[in-house]
Amino acid sequence: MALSFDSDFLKKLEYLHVVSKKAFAGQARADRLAPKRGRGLEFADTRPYSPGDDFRHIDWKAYRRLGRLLLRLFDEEQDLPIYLFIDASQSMEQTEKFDQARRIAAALCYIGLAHLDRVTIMPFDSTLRESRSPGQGKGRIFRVFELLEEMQAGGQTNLSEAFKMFAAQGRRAGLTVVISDFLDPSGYEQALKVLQARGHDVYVVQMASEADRDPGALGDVKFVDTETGVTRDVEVTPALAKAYGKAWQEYTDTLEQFCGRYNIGYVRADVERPVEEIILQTFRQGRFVA
Amino acid sequence: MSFGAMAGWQAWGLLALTAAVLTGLFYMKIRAPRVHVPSLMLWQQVLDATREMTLWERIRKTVSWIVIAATGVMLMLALTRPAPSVTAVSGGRRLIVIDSSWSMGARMSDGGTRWDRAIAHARTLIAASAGDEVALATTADGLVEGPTADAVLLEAALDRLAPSGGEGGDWPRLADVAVVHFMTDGVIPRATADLEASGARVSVEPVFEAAANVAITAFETHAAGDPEAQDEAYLELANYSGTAQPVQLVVTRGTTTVADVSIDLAAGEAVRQIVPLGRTGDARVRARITARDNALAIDDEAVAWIAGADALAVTVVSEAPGFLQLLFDRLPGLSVTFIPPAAYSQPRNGPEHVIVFDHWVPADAPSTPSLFVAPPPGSAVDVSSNWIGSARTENSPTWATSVVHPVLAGVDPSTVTLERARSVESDAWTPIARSATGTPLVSVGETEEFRRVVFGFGFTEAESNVALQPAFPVLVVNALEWLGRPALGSQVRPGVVSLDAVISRLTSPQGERVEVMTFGETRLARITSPGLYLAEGGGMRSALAVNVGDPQVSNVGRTSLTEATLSTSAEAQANAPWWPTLIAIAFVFVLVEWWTWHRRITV
Repeated sequence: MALSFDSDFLKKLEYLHVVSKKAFAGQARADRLAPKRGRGLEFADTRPYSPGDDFRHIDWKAYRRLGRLLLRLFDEEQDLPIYLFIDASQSMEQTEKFDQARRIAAALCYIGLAHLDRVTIMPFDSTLRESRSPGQGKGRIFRVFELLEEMQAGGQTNLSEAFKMFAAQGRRAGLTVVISDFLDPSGYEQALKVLQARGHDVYVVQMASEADRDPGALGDVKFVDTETGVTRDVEVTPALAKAYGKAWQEYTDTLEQFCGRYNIGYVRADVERPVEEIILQTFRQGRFVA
Repeated sequence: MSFGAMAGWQAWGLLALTAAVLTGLFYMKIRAPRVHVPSLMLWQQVLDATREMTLWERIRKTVSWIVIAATGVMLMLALTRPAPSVTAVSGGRRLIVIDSSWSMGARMSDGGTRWDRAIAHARTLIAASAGDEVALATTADGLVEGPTADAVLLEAALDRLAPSGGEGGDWPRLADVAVVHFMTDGVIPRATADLEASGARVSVEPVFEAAANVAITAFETHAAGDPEAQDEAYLELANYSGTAQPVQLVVTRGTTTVADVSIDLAAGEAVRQIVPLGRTGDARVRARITARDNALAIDDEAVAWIAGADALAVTVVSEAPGFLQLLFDRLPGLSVTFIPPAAYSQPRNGPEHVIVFDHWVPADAPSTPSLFVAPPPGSAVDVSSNWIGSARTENSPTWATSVVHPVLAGVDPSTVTLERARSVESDAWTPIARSATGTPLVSVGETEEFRRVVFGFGFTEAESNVALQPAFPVLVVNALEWLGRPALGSQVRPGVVSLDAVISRLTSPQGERVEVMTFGETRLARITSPGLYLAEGGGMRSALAVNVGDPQVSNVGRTSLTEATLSTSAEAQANAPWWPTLIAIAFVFVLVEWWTWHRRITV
């Protein structure tokens, strides 16, 4: 798959930024307000001068008025660590979910790069694959495209295992976006809680397709699990198809309710919808980007 | 239960095999198409949740299997033509007699005919005979098959049969018959007393169902004697139904339509009509009717033959025709050619129905019907022409005796005075009028090859006064008509028909030869279908019109069967084919299966 966005869409993306409900400490100066006072341009506060402080920040006007040495403090603006977890399991390969996930990831990367955020692409299946960081600045978007195009789907989904490995790496807390279909037999709850526990601001993007919602086939069929290869002979009647559709909807609703309860951002992205519409409408409505 | 299409063991075997095959197919695992899904996780949840319905699934599956097997069995059962078992009469012969009168062709409310129902019932009886000997007969054909226990032979015979009249035929006879099954609609009554007297039990099995019918019950044509008058057809139509209805009548003469009219007939009304056919035209006349309520088709068409429609071609071989020429110039319907004996030669060319030899005899016997007037005495005839027989002369003979013969019809001998008569005698001649001394005055000769008449007297004044008497034209025309136009009867019905003795060959409208049987001096033919038959013999050709229409046959709404006999019609109804019912049941089963399929959740 060749990734590319037209210039109009990219221009629109530049006006957006990823909304983080928390302030995170960055590594370099950037556009994000850091939790500590520093050398920014915005005046924040004053404090009594202590020996060793940079005397260039002494408020001399206050000294003349009050007779005390006060030091002027400014807000520190740093970059935001954004971790983009992309489900690269075999189940995503089917029905273009993987392609759509990579488009969404690319768009989010561009938003982050445009605001000098530190974006890290982290593909996973049953384990965490090698993470890639394209650098900073929106000029790095082509590197992002390359990284995403090189990514291959395969393996089984295991969110818990992958996120435990990520937690074990001891990376700085940041904004974490998980793009997956969340069809993980071992469950997604524990995995998302791990990220929450490590102080990350977590967003969930659930990939879905019409084929997930409606099996389509009626009659005697042999269902094959694309990840495990396990087969199951099923006589799909209209009633059974309806029951499956209802089960899928319940599963989706449960994921959304779980996210709401744990203050995790939730957005559903259907492959049938254009990525522009998902980013500019769905993500904005979900207060994922602003 | 018995089976009309096959033996009982074959039918039961077929049903068992069908049930077994369908059961096998029902439980056979078919190779299902593979469908790749992202994960079976949700399917697992759904299937686990629905597993609580196993009991219902089992019931549903059992019902489905029973319904499918029953559907197949019903369809196969329909093929075996099942019927309820008839009362078995073991250890005795059965005689199945089917009433083959024309009324059996009447169509019933179910679309079939009474004949179809009788045949179906006969098949049932044959199937139920279970090894007993069965003989098959119709009222028209008599015994047609058997007695035999071979059901295939009997079935084949049933396939050949068709209604063919035979209203007046005798009961078919067969020794040692225990039961006679007589399938009839009772339109033509038949007494069974003589059969019962022979010890056989007669079971009358009615196939009657009242039906409305319209028919041509009479159709005759008359040639106009006067050249200025038109030929006419006499027609009788009858509406044997409970309601009035329009009837479309079309009368054609050859290929010309002479009448195409709609006639409103009241319920039970019969009308008679005279249809003018024109002065000239084809001898073949055909009438056809169409109507709304019309159960019987065989009486919707009638044919006739106008015997005098074609002019009779007569050649007169004479040196001096005299009175003969005067007579022939005035007779209508004749095309006469006069030639002298020197111009006569054989073989003859052109259309020539009759040759009149006046005072002269050819050397060889003519093949054309011939009238000899006063053949010359033996000394005057060439030796080689003595084929006609020895000739002697009697002067002033008296016409003393005569027999009843068409040639002499209407001739009054008392007015005739003969001056001289020549006797012609041989084995080939049959005198039909003699003098007081026994001299043959008028003789006829008739074989399959020829027909001839000899007048022993001439018509000159020196020979007789015949030419001056009313008997002259009558005698001559009688002779020409007998020679050229054999009387075949105007209204002949199918069945055994008595023919003119000279007819040796009969051809049906379909071009098939009909056997002509000779019993003494009688010629008989068995005609099984209506139409215009070609009759040939004695050097002549004519047509025989055979029609079915008759008030007794066409009134198919009544029956001679008693109420008690008709009450067994319920049983006959029960003997009606089961296969439509079986097909309907199979259809219901298919609906049930379809419903259960939609109700089921999973397997």
